[in-house]
Amino acid sequence: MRDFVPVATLNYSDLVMVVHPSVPVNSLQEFIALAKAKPGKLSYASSGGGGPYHMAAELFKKITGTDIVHVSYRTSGEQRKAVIEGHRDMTFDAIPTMAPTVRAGQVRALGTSSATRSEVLSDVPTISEAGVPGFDAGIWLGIVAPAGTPKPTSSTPRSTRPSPAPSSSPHGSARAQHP
Amino acid sequence: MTVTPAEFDAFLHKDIEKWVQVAKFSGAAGQ
Repeated sequence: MRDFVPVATLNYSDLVMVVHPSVPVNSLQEFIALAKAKPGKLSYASSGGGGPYHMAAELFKKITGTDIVHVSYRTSGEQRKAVIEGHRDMTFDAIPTMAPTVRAGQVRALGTSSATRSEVLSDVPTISEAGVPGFDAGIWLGIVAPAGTPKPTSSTPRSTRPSPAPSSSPHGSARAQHP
Repeated sequence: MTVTPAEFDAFLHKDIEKWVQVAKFSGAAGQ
């Protein structure tokens, strides 16, 4: 952080936690109870160690005290497919990407990842309101400049932190998956 | 939400601290 100065944020995208329909839960609390009853038996997919979906799931495990096995895939497409086809029980994914799959019933959404409900999946509770207070995870994009950049330059841009509205562009969604 | 560079700076430091702890918990920090 000493090498950069923050300039502006560009985008913020919420995530959604989903399970395969065969997982016998209808709520986040039921999922937590199942995971605690079967430590190390449930698994979740990510698109790579250290990535946003891996970190969101690890934050969930850390807060809830659950033991859910991480299975890393090479791409977010493979990660998504693993849950849709039932090879893995759960995953976190970007809302604009996963919403059509949720609406089609291919996966079951248990919660969204920020402090407020998503406009895209407004019927899905936030993970925080569903029983994991304080849970907050998402993907943001921003601009930083080299340390020492003159302040009038680095402070000129202003930015927004938009909610993950339906207007999120396909380009923004794709970019958010691969920060 | 409009943020200033100073607000972004504060957010960035807080967010990095948060995710460092999660990465340590997951074991990803050592990968």
